[in-house]
Amino acid sequence: MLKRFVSVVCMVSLLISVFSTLASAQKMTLTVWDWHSPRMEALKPKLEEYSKLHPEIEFKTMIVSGDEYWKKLLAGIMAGQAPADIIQFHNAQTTRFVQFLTPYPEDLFPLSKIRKEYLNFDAGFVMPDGKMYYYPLGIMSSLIYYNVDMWKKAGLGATPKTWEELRTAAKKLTKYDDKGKIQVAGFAFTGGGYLQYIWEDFKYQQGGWLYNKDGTGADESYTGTPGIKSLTFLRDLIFKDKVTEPGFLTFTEAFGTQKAAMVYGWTWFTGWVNYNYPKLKYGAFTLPTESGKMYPVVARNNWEVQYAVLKSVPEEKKQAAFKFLKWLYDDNKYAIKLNQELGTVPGKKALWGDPGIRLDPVLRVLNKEIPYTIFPGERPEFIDPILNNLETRIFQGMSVEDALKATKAELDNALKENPVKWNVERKYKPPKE
Amino acid sequence: MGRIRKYKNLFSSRNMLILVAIIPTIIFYIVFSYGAMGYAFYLSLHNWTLGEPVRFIGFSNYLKVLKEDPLFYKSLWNTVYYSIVTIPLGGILALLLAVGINGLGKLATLFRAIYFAPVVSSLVAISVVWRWLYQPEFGLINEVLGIFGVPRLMWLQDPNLAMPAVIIMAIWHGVGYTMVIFLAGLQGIPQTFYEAAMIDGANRWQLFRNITIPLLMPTITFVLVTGVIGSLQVFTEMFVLLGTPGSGPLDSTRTIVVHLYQRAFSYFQLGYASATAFILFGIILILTIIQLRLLRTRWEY
Repeated sequence: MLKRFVSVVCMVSLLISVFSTLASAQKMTLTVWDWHSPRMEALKPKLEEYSKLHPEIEFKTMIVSGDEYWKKLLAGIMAGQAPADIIQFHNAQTTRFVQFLTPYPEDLFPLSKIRKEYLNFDAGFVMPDGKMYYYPLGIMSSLIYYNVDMWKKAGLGATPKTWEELRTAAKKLTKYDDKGKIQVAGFAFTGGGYLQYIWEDFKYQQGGWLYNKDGTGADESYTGTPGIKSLTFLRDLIFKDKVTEPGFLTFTEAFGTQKAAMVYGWTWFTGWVNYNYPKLKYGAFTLPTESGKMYPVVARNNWEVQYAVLKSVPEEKKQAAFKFLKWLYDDNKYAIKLNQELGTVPGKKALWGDPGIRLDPVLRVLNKEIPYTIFPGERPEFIDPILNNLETRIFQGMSVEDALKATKAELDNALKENPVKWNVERKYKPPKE
Repeated sequence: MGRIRKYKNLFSSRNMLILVAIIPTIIFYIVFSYGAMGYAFYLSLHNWTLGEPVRFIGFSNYLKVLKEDPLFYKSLWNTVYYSIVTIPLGGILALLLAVGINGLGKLATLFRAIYFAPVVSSLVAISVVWRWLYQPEFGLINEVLGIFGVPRLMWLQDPNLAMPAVIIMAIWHGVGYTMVIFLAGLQGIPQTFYEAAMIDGANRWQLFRNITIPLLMPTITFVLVTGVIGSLQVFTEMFVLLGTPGSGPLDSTRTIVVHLYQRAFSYFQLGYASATAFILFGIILILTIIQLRLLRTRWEY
C-alpha cells in the first residue's frame, strides 16, 4: 500500500515538474527599454495588468541612461541583435534608426483610422514610405510660465499677447538691488540653451524656417530679417531692458527659487516644477506674437513619441509586442495620465475633450497653441549645441548680424555633412484665421 | 645539443606554470585591447556611418581629418592648451605639496588623506559641485572674487574662461594622485645624501635643487609621461562640467576625444571617429618616445 502511495506521489510530482517546465518554456519575456524613469513607472502597472491577462507574457524593464541609450542600442543592432524587444524612441534619431525599426502592422494599427483620429498625421509621425514606426503619444511645445503671486503684486492683469506687452510686463516684474544687480528677473530665458528656442519660435512667426528646403543647410531666414529681428528683440531684453542678465540662473532654477517672475519653457517643465517645487503657484500663457493673434504660427512643436520594435526582434516576439502595444494604446486613461505627466497634449484628438486634459492648467493653454505650431521633422542632436552659440556670441558682445552669420555657417557645415532627410516643416498648414 | 637543452628549459615546469598563470591576462589583452584596437583600425579604413552602406576607403578618413576638418585642429589646440597648463602647474603644485607634507612627520598621513580625497571622489559628483561654485550669479568663487573687486565672471559660459575653469577643477581633482607618487619618490631618497650635503654647508634650496630633483628624476619622468598621455585623452572633465557633448561655448573646450566622441555618437561616423582616435594614438606615441629619450636618466646614484 505504502509502495503504491509513494509511486503515485512520485508520478504526480514528476508530471507537475514536466508540465511546469513546459509552461515556463512557453512563457515569453518581452524586454522594454527606456531612459526616463517616470515614464517607465507609469508603464509598469500596465505591464503587470497585461501579464495577468496573458500569463504567457512576462516583461522585463530596463532603464538605460540617456547618454548610453543610443550607444547601447546601436552596438546591439550592429551586432545583429535586438538588445530590447520594445524600445522607447525619440524622433531626433529618426534618420539613423528608422531603418532598424519594424513598421506598426496595418491589421492592428490601420493607418486610415489613425489618420482620422490623430493630429498632423502626414507630417508628424508617418514616414515618407507611408508607414508608422513609433507611436505618436502627444505633442509638446513652448509656453510662458509666470509666478502668480509676483504677477498680482506687480498689479498686472491680463497676460501678454504681443511681444511688446511681454516686454512691458517683464520690466515691471524685474527687481534690482541697490547696486542695480537683478534680484528677480522679469523674464528669464537664458542658460540651458533656451535663448535659441525662443529665437527660433519668433523667427517661425515671421515666416522663417529651420532648414533649407532639402535639409542640407540652415534656412536663409537665419541671417535675414526674421532672424535679425528675433535676436535683436532678445538681446534688447537682456542689455537694454535688463529683465535678465548674462550668467543669471537657468530658467528652471530661477523660476523654482522665485528668482524669475516669467520664464520661457517647453511644457515638460510643468512636471519638473510640480515635482521640485510643489508649492509654487504658477500659470502659463501662449507665446506672444507681433500681432497678438496666433495665426498663422506661434512656435515649433515636437512629438512625444513612444514605443518602437526593432527589426532584429524575432518574428514571434514582434507579434506579441505589437499585440501588447495595441492593447496599451487602446487604453485612453493611460494616454491621458501619461500626457499629463509628460506635459503634452494627446496626439489623439478625441482625448482633448477629456476633463483630465481640458481642465489641466497648463495643457488647456497648450491645447490652444498646438494647432498653430510647426513640426519641423527631425532635429538631430548636433543642432542644439551649434544654435546655443547664438547666446554665447551675444553675451560676448558680438553684433546680432555677425552672431547669426557665424552660427549659420556652423550649422550649414554640419547639415551639409549630415543632411536632415526627414524635413517636413514646409508641410505646415495653419488652421483658418 | 645546447639548442635542445635551451628548448627543454623553455618548456620547464616553472615556465609552464608562469604561462598558465598569465594566459587569462594574455587572452584579455588580445580580445579586449589589441582585438578592439585592430577592429578600430579596420573601422578607420571604412566609411562606416550608421545607416549607410559600409565602404572601404583606405586612408581617406585620415586625410579628411587632417585636411578638411577645422574642428580637429581647434580640438588639437585645445588639447595642447589643456596639457601645457595642467601638467606643469599640477606637477609643480603636487611636488610642493609632497615636499611640504614629507616634512610634517606624524601629520603627513592626515594631509595626504585630505589631498587624496578628491582623487577617490566621483568626477560627476565633483562636477556638480564645481558647476555651482562657478555659477556666475550666486557661485562661491564669484562671491569671493567680488570682495576683491573682481567683476562677475561667467566661468562656464565665456569661451575665454571655460578652459581655465576646467583646468582648475582638473588640477584640484588630480593633484592628490601626483602628490602621492612624489611622496613615494621622496621617501625613496636616502637621508645620507642630505646629511652629507648639509655637512658640506648646503642650504635648503641647494638640497632641493641638487639632491631632491635629480634623485626624483625617474618619478618626474613617470609623472610627466603618464600626465601627457592622460591629458591628451582628456574627456570626462569637459563632458561632465560643460554637459553633452563637452565642447563648451564656441568649442572652447572641444578636445580631441570630445571631438571624436561627438563624431562617433552624435553623428554616428564610426570610421571617421576611429581614424581620429588613431591620429591621437600616433601623437601620443611620438610624444612619449620623445619624452622618454629626453628624460632618460643616464646615471645612477
